[in-house]
Parts: sequence; C-alpha cells; structure tokens
Amino acid sequence: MICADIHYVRPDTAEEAVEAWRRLPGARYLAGGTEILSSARRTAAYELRACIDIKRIPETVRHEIREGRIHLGAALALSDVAEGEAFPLLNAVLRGIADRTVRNRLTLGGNVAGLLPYREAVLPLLLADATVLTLAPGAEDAPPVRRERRLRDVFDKRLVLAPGELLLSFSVPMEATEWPWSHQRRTRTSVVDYPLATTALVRDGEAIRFAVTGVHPYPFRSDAIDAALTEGVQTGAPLTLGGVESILEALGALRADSRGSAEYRAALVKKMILTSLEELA
Amino acid sequence: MKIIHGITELHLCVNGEDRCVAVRPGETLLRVLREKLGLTGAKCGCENGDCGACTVQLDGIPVKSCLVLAVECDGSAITTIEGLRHHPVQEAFAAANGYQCGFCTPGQILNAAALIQAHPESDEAVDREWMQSNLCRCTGYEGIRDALAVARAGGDGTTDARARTTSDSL
Repeated sequence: MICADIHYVRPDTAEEAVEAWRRLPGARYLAGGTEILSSARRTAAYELRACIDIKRIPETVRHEIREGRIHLGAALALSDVAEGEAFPLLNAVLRGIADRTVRNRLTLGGNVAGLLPYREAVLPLLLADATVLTLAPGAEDAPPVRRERRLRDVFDKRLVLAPGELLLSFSVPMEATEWPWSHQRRTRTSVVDYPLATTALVRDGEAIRFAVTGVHPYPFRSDAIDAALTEGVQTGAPLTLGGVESILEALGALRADSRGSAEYRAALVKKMILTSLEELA
Repeated sequence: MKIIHGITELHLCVNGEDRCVAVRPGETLLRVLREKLGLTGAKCGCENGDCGACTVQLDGIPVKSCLVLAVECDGSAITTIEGLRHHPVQEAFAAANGYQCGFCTPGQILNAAALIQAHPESDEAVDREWMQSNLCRCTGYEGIRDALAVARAGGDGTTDARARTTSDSL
C-alpha cells in the first residue's frame, strides 16, 4: 500500500518511459514491485511520486537467443527466466532467491538493480561478461540515448546508471552458458532466507572465474581472486586460500550481523571455493 | 501510454465475474480485494511478501497480492479462495486436516492449486520449492503435504480431474 497520491504510468515504449521520468519528479521505474511496495509501506525512504510500469515494453520482456547470444529482458520474472534451458548457472542462482511466489513477480533487472545488498542474480551475469542495454534521458530536449555496455563496466558494487536511465535487457554470449559451473548458497536457518554467502564459479578452459555476495554489503567479481584461483588450478599446487582471504578483506569490511560474524563468513567462503573447485576438477 | 492519477475505474475478472472498481494508483490488489470487493479470503499478514497469506492467482500465476498494485491488474483474471469453492484442492485440505487456525489456508490452497495444475505428478523437490512460499505456524506442514497427495489422488479418481485448471473449475 502506497499512501502517497502517486501517478501510475504505463508506457508502451522505452522512449515513452524515459520521457515520463523526465516529466514526473520523484518517479521510479516499476517492474515486479516487490522492493518498491515493501519499502514504500515500511519506511519513508522512498519519496515516491510516480510509478512507471515498464512490463509492457517489449524490450524489457524479451527472452530469446539471437546471433549467438541470449537476450534477457530486465522485466522478466525470475521464475520465468529460471524455466529456460539456455543458462543453467543463472537458473540455479535464481531458484535460490526469495520464494517461488515472490519470484513470480520479482524481476531480473529489479534484483540486479535493487537496494538490498545481495543482488544474487548479478553473479552469473558478471561471470559470463554480460552486456547491459539501457536507455538514458538525453540532455535537455535531446532524444534519449541507447547504450550497450559491459556489465562489469557499469557494476561497481551496484549497478551505476545515470538518473532516469532505464535498464532494458542483458545479453550473454552463448559460449559462456556452456562453461562448467558450480553454485553454492548458505543461509543461517531455512532455505528461504537472505544468504550468509552465495558463490558462483565457472571454469573457462584453464581459467577460473568467481563471484560472491553476502560476504560484503555488495556482490562482486574480483580479477585478483580469479587470477589467484586460476594460478592454483594451472600449477596444480595444493590450493592455499590465505591469499583469497586477504583479497576478501582488502575489498572492504566483511558483513557481520545476526546471521553470521565476519570471521564465519570468511571461513565459509573459503570452504565454498574449495568445494566448487573439487566439483569442477 | 496510459497515465493514471487520482481515482480511476479498474476492470477485473474476479473469480470468473467481471468487476469494475474505483481505485487509487497506490492501492494494492490485496486491499482492493478485501476492502472494495468484500473478498476477505486473502489475508493481510505481513504485507511484506514474506508470509503468503495474501496469495491469489493473477492470470493463473500465484502471487502475493500485497506486493501488487491493483492498477497493474487492469483487464486481468484474479482467482481468490472464494472462487475455489468445492475445488479438489480445497476438499483435500479439509480431508487431510491441512489446516488448524485457517489464517494461512486460503493462500496455501491458491498456491497448491496452481502447483498441481503445473505439476500434476508428485515431485517432492518441486512441491517443497513451491510451498515454501507460504508460512504456517500451526500444522508443521505435514497435513499440508498430505493434502497435496490427496488432491493428486483425485476427488473423482482421475488424473484429468486433478490437473484441471483453476479457471476450468470456476
């Protein structure tokens, strides 16, 4: 329930959505609504004045394989994406997020761009070197600008977009969906809970790629950790994870809350990495 | 492009019946069902998408109606527990004692009906994945699990009856 007297806008095109954002101060793009609605009810954090519903924009609900890439609209519900067969790692990660009926509404773009610290859906996309397609408002009366960039270039702890920039879709090279993978998710109690840590690890030939969330207040993929893990695999030396722990700590203070201490999370991630490497050996 | 501000007329097909209701853009589907259409089967539990007591089917998909704006549903088909009267899943919950206080039961039944429609054959992992969406503080879930088995066994003993769609039953 949103008590404020808001506008509801349902554009048919991405250009109309961006134009509505320009005209309506305090507007937010609405897809699944799971975060906007719960936040608007619970706190005054949102100065919400308008919801721009993007679910009827064709580009935001595309789900297709074309020209060697899988294209995933930002407004696709997680349960719909997870039903697909093209990207097994993504499916596995999405099935761990929230619960089934929430996933029937929660969207891919909403999870990646959300305010909660976990944003687990971004992990496979970071590993696969996905690109992200957006439409940004133009300067003053200029037309909006369509941009396609590497996700890793616009995801620094969180998705960094310009004000009013609309997330349309992700694109993943098909070969990345075929790499051997391992996904692990650990929670304090029940399956349906925020994670202590969620990890995703892929093996592209001899190269290891690793991404994690839950350990810091943001998800990340680190080139330094990738290099350390790859070197360990290539040399065949017994893997020591002291280096990985140092890198984790260098990335910022580890989360410590009622679900788990920082020390526990660090130990847990090291164990999860070892288990994943054994799975892919 | 459609722009709504202030009170607007919303057209829904609720339990097979066309309904027209005046809503504001900020009202959730749950509030509109309960307070404007008098359908109090969907319960207002956490209003945070956690408990599942407000579950209804939106175009056949189970959703938590506390997390859906009513204006998003214009032209959609909504099924609430009132629309599942004498549905095999409802009968199964009664037969298997899949309830105690009953507060969560409407949401459990709406979700279970959609589950059995999508997965007529029993699969423990799938059942668990779907039904984890609904919290029950009374039953310990065994009765609910039994109800799924009874529903799949079929009120009239046929697989077709078990798998029939919610809309078909209305």
